Order: sequence, then structure tokens, then C-alpha cells
Amino acid sequence: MTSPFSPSRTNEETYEELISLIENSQGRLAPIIVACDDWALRQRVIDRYEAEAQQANILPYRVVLGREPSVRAALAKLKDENDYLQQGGEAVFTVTGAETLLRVTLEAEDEQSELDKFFGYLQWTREGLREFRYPIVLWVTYRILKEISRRAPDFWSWRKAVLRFETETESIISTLPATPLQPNPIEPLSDNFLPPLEELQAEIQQLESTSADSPNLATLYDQLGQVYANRVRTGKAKNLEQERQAAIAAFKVAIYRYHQLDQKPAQSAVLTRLGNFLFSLSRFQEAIAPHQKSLEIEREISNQQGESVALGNLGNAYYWLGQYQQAIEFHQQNLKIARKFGDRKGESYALGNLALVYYSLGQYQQAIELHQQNLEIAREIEDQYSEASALGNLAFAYNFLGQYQQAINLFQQQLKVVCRIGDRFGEANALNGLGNAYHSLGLHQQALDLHQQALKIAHEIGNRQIESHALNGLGSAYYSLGQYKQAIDLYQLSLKIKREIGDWRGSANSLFNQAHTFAKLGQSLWGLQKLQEAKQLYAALGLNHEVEKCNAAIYKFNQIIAAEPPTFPKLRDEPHKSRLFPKQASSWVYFLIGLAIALLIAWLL
Amino acid sequence: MSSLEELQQQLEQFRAASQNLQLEPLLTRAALQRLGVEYQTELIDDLEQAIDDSIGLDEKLIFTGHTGCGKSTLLAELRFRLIETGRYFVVMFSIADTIERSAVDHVNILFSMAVQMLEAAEQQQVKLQPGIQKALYQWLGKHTKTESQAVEAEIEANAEATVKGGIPLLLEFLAAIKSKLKINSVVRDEISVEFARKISDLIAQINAIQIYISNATGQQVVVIIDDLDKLDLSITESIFSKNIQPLLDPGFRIVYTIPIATLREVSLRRGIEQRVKQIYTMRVAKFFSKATVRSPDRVPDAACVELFAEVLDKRLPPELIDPTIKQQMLLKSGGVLRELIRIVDRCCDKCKTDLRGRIRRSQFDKPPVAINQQVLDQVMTDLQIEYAEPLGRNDYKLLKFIYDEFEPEDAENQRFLDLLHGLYMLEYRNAAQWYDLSPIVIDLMRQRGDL
Repeated sequence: MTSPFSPSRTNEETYEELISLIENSQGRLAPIIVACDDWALRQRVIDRYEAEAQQANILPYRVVLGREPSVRAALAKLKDENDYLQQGGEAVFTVTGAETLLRVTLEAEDEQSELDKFFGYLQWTREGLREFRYPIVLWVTYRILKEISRRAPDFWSWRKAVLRFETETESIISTLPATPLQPNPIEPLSDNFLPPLEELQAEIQQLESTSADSPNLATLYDQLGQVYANRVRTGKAKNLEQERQAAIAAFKVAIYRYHQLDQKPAQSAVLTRLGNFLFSLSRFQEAIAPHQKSLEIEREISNQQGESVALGNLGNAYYWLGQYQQAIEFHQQNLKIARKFGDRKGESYALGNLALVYYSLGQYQQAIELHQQNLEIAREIEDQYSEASALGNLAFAYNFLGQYQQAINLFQQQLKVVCRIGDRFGEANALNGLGNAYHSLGLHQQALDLHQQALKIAHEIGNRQIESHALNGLGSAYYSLGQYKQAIDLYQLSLKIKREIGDWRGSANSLFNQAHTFAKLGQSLWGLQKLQEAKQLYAALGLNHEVEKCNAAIYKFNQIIAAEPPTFPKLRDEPHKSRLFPKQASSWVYFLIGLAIALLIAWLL
Repeated sequence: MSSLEELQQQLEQFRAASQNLQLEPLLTRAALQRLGVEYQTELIDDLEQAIDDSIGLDEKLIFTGHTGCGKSTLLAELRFRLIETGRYFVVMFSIADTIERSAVDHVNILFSMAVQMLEAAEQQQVKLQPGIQKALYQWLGKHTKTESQAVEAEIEANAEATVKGGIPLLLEFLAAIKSKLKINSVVRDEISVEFARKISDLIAQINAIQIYISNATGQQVVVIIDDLDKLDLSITESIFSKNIQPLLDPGFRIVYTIPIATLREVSLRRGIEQRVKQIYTMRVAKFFSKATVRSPDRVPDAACVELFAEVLDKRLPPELIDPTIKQQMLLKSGGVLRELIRIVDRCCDKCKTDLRGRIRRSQFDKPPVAINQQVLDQVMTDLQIEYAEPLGRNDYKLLKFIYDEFEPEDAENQRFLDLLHGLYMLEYRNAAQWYDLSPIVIDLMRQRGDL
């Protein structure tokens, strides 16, 4: 529904220009580029000039750019299908959809993003459009506008006009649950300045050739592991998978050697590094063993500080695996030790981590309280990493409780801090968080932008967790923009990754979102299936409040199903891969039909 | 009869002698050659052997002895010996030179080790790989908040070259860092806080530095840290009791000096003994045995006397001292070399003052100035006053007890340890350990009538 059109004075003047151009450019090719970041306004403007054009016997046509974003192809298709156009009738073409083209590639291996292709096609357009003697109103965002002149200079050079509309519309609150982000609270990257890879390898080689038993090799292998790990984390690795393996292998050699030398503190330190590295790759289950071993050693040598670090790391690993009670226990032990020794930094970490677990359990007030304590300490000891983390987590909690402006402020503060310290991981997190907050405020285009930025960084640093969150956020944005097919695909991509890394809670969230999207497409039975899956996961994690939400949604869906016939269209990458459900598609179909009938009966009774 | 020229000549002689009577240890080859004597060479042999024969390549040696008994000089001698074998890259430094006295802790001792190792490497033109070297200097710069960009550029520029004596820019950088550690408490505190939580990272870095130096030189790294014994007792206690393990963790040989008083504390001593193979003690020279020291016709050990006489002769021309008081002077040192030098130095000062007076007042008819009984007595009185200043009634009781019993009532009593640390009493060894008061303190107490 559109509200009565009442633009600001400048916008009104711009409109006058636009309608004039449309009326006066008949019979000649006139690309009119219009920049506008306000969708509601855009819709109103389009409706208005189309109506006015029609009154002047100028027929309006619309093109929405899809996955293959070629303006020329879309227009050519329209012309082919329309006799009126072939006979040279007067018309105006409105092209939208450029704003939702992805700037990032969805798979890290793709070479061009959708937006890249869009610009590419624009460059080829003139020849193809020579026969198009019509005004073409191409709607873009301000950001794209800035880029067109650079990336499609030919097209730009014979534009007819460039018009700009100011944003007017007030924000609306979205009703789709935003996926809560669970930022990663591990220890920051070591700031040891590491030697270059080749030189280090040379040193190792030399030492091995002169004295292969040298205890010093343990130290060098430890460094080697750190160098590889650092390259992977900062996106400098030439071959990501290879260097990941190399890091792990190097750490293991160091651990083995230190064990032989019975150098317990050093062994424990390398175990911790290995555990942290695996954690950063989202291999949470694998990270537990080294951290556990480190804990044992630290207890053996009665080093309480080391014990505290190990406890915190274990708590985080269990948290990500959804084993919340375990996580709480470890974090609380850690908190106790940190307070006993007046270790403010340790206390800050423990508080932050505990807060996250409470947040996941739905105990939001508690979580906020702990996050605030954490933030105070982080500022007191001037620990920027912790400060950033606390800001982000606090923002999330506020976002969830509906205090969106507050959340945005906090996210922006967080972004400032992480950029200052060059923490790519933190930056991506903050971007995702901000994206979610904007989404909650109905600013979906901004949300789209932010999540794309986060996705790009996630690819660079090879962090799948952030990748999955960004994809999920993109899905939500598309959902809100009414692009349901796209939304489902993105949720599916996100889901795939979450399953791979063992993020069950995240998987459940993605499933929940997918369900609602299916409903929008009129495919409530699929939606119902997704809800059931989500519910199972939430139940397994012991998250009763989420289970309740699923039940409520299931109830609604059943009502919808009862009123509409079931349909089962194909979907890419289907739940055959799910661990919980059987493989055959056909048995699926029968199962669902049976379920539907059963539900129908149940509803009737 | 003396003339003006003769007086001036004498003054010159005393001045020249004073140059050789400085209380600093002999750290250069030249100084050792000129003024050094063969003293406790078996101890140097022992230390050298301990380093050479150590199986693990990471043996830690604890070296102790009264302040002033010749430890630093001995360590310097050890250093030269090790260097001469060609097998070792020796890094020796005094903690007093690197860190502000009251601020020493285990973290900044380790951090200083890193700085000193890199400095020694640069001074001796050890060719580290440029990328590695840059990373190390960046690390240093970051932790001490010292701008390292110019240095990094310099390293790159000199990647192929070797600059004699080390690249000046790098040496300046390292000097700046050392200066910060010495005087900048903010930087020091940050280092302590930063690494206290992850001390193993610091140790890993030190190990890495050692490995790179070792690879580049083909030699084994040995670090000698002197003057830890000059720190306040409470500080060394805190370092060596609670935080000794990190100091023993680096993977190469280190020699630490600790105060003799620290080892009086049983638990601390045990803690150290459990972790190192042996504690090497440098003894003060023993002029008398426990049995003979109180007897009125005691005769001092001839070898000791000869040794101390040699030390004296190397530094003081015989014509400047009355030979009859020589032995007295030697014995007043209690067997501590630096105290001997202090006494002689003070005597020289008195003579110089006397000579100046004579020159000014043109008193040419007095007998030539030399260190005689009168001069010695004056110096001893001065020293007694100095020693007496901080003493209280309880101290005298404690001291008397030791005088009588050759041991303290309570060997862990803090006051006893402080006095031991301050050379009021000295530790000797026959078959067992015993204590005696410093000769100056004995004289003092006799004056007072306590003894």
C-alpha cells in the first residue's frame, strides 16, 4: 500500500524533471539514471509517473533484474514479446532490482558477483540498445551511482540525465525474528611479530641438518604453526586448505617434542594455540581435546593462570557445540580463579563468555548485566578487544529486546574499536550485527550492504561461522524485500555451513527462517517440515522458549495448510543431507502427506 | 726535604694509583691483564666445565658470593675463556645496567635478556635473516613503544652488507630501548602486565632469538646475568621464590648471580636446589680458621696474604705505603677484595689531601707522604662510623651473639640476612659453614665496649 505522495520540495522538483524527460524523450534512446535509497518513495514515484505517462498514452513497462542482470537482455525480451513496441508505440521502461544484486560472490570460488556482471553488461548495452528509442528509467542506489561512472564508463558517457531523490520514509519494525549473532569470544590474535615463512623454514632446515635432536626445534615448529595460522586468519594464505593443515601439523610436532622434553609449560602453551586455531576454523569438537590436555597440564604444574585460560577456552568450545550447562560450569570456574587472583583481564573474559551463554538460554537481563560488567572492566584495563566484544554482545541483547537505536549505537561503537585495532574478525562480526539491527528497523537495503561486507571479510579470513551469519542475514533482508526465492536459497547456504561446523542452534534458526519464507511462497508444507526440524534441534539443545515459539508457529501453519492444497516444488541442496532425517525423497513425500492428513484430522477433532 | 716539584710528583703518583683503585670489577681484557690476579681459578674451571659438559644444553647455573668478593671479575674471566674456545656466543650484562633497581621482576629480567641478546648479536655482526630480524625489532619496538620503522628500513637496506661493529641505527634503537627499561616505569609496568599472563610467550620469543643467533653463528648461546645480588633482598626473594621457574625455562645456558643472603632462607634454597644441578659459591678469602680466629697470637694464612698482597701491589706502588702496615690493612678487609680496595683507596685519598695541603701552604720540610699507621687508623675510624650508622641496640646483640657463637640464633631472621647482605658479617667455610663479623665491625664494637 502506498501513502499519499507528498515529497519534500527538492524531491518534487526532481520528479518534475523526471516526468518531463519521460514525455520529451520519446523516439530517442534516453537512459535516465535515478538514485534513491528509499524504497517506499521509489514505489510512490514509479506509480505516479507511470500513471501520468499512461494519461499521455505512453505505456509503462517494468523490468526487474534477476540473477542474470543484463539490462539489454531484459529489454530485448520485452520488445520481442510486444507487438506494440515492435510497431514503435510510445513507452517508458522502468528498470529496478540493481539494488539487490549481490556485491559479493556467494561461493568463495565464483569470480564475478551479480553486481560485477551488471556493470559488465551495461558496458555492452549501447550497441544492443540502438534500436531502443525510449526513455529507460534505471533505478539505482547512491552507492551504485557512484560506481557506474567508473565501472561502466561507456554507458555513463551517453546517459541522458542523472536524478537524485532524497530519502523520506520513516522506519518500520520488521516482524521476522532477527537471528541473534553469537560473537566469538576467544583470545585475540597473538601480537607477536612473526617471521616470514620462507626465512623460518630456512632456519628449521638448517637446524634439522645440523642437529636433528635439538630441543630448539620444538620452539621453531611452534613458531611455524603460528605463522601458518596467522596467514590463514588474516587472509594471506596462498592455499587456504593447505596452510590450515600445515599449521595444525606444525603445532602437533611442537607439542610432541615438548612432551618428549618434558617441558610442560611450553607444551601447554602450544596446545592452547592449537585449540584456538581449530576453534577459529569453527572446528569446535576438535578444539576440545587440546584445551582439555592443556588444562590437565596446568593443573599438574599448579599454574592457576594457565588453568584459567584453559577453562575459558573449554567453556567457549562447549558453548558453540550447544552444551550450555558444561559451558557455564567452565566459565564459572574460570571467573572464580580470575577474581581470586585479581586478574581483571581474565575476569572480563569470563564475564563476557558467561553472558553469552545466558543470552542463548534466553536469560536476557542476566546477560545484559554481565555484559555491562564486562564492558566496564574492559574499559578500565584498556583492553580494546574485550571492549569491542562487550559492545557487540550488549548491542545484540538490546537488539533482541527491541531497543534498536541503542543497539545500533553500540554496534557503531564496536565497529570503531575493531577498525582501530585492525581486527578483521571483529569487524565482520560488527557488520553482521549492525546489519541485523538495521534489519530490525526495516532498513533492509542497508542491512543487505552490511551483510555483504561481512561476507566478503568472512571469505578473506576463511571464517565459516561469520560466513553463515552473513548469509543468514542476507536471507532475512531478501525476505523483507519480498524476494522469497532468493531468501530461501541464502538460508539454505547458511544452513549448509552451519551443519558442517556443528552450529546446531544456528541451524535451527535458519530452519525457522526458511519455514516462514516457504509460507510466503505458499509452500506451507515445506515450511512445516522446516519447523519440525527446527523444533527438534531446539529441544535437543534444551532451549524450551525456542521450542515454544516453534509450537506456536506450527499451530499457525497447520491452520494455513488446512486451507490450502499441498505443493512440493524442487529445492536445491535438500535435507537429504540432514543427519536427522532419512534419505529417500519419496518416503519423504508419503510421510508428509500422511502428516498433513493426520494434522487435518487432529485439527478437525 | 721535599720541594714543590717533589710534592707534586708524589701527588701525581697517588693520583695514578687512584685510577687503579676503583671499586668496579675488571671487565675488559686489558684491565684483567693489568690488575688481575689468579684468584679462585678452580671456581672458574668448575663453571667452565659445568657449561661445557652440560648434557641438556640448557643448564642453569646459580652463582653466589658476598658482594665485593670478586664475582663480576671472575665472571668476566669466565666469559673470555668461553669466547676463546670459539664454541660459545656469550651475552653478559649487569641487571643494574638495564633495569631500575626497585623495579626488577622476573618478567623484565627475561625481557632484558631479549634486548641484550639482540644487542650482542648486532655488535658482533651476527647475520640474521632480514625478515626475522625485522620481526624481532618490531616486537621490541611495540612492547617498549619505540618507533621501529626507520630500523626496519635499515635492516632491509643492509640485508646483504655487514657493518663493522654493528649498524649504528640499530644500536641506537637498542640503546633507546635499554634506556626506557631503565627509567620509564610506564613502559616497564606495561611489559610486566602484558607478559605476566603469558610468560611462556616471552620465553618462546627468547628461545627463538637464541636459536637464530645459534644458527647464524654455529655457536651455543650462554647468557650471564650479573648483579642480581645487588638488588634489595625483598626483591630477590620475590623473584627467586615465587617466580623462579620462568627464569629457568629458557632453552639455553644461563648463569644467574644471587645474593648469598637469599640462600640462607631454607625454603628458597631448597626450591633452587631442586631445580638446578648446583649452586656455585665464591668464598671470601679466609685468613683465619674458625679455630684460630679468636686466639691472640693467630697467624694468617700465608697464601691468602700473598694473594691479597699481590692485588695490592698491582695497584699501588710500594713506595707509597709503609710496608709494616701492609698486612694489617690486608686483614682489615676480612677477606673481601673490594673492601681491601676501598680501604686502600681511602688511604690514598687521605694522602692526596695531605699533599695538597702541603703544596698550598708550601710546607716543604715534612717527611714524604705515604700510607702509614696514622692514615690507616683515620680511614678505619671513618669506616667504623659508616658501619655504625644504621645499627640499633638489637643489632649489636645479634652481632655479639655471632661473635661468640660463630652462627646466628636464627638463620632466617630478616635482620640477620640484611646485615649479612650488607657485609657486617661474612660467611666462611671449613667443613661446615660459619660466620664471623667483619673486622671493621669488631673494631667498632670493641670501641663501644660490647666486645
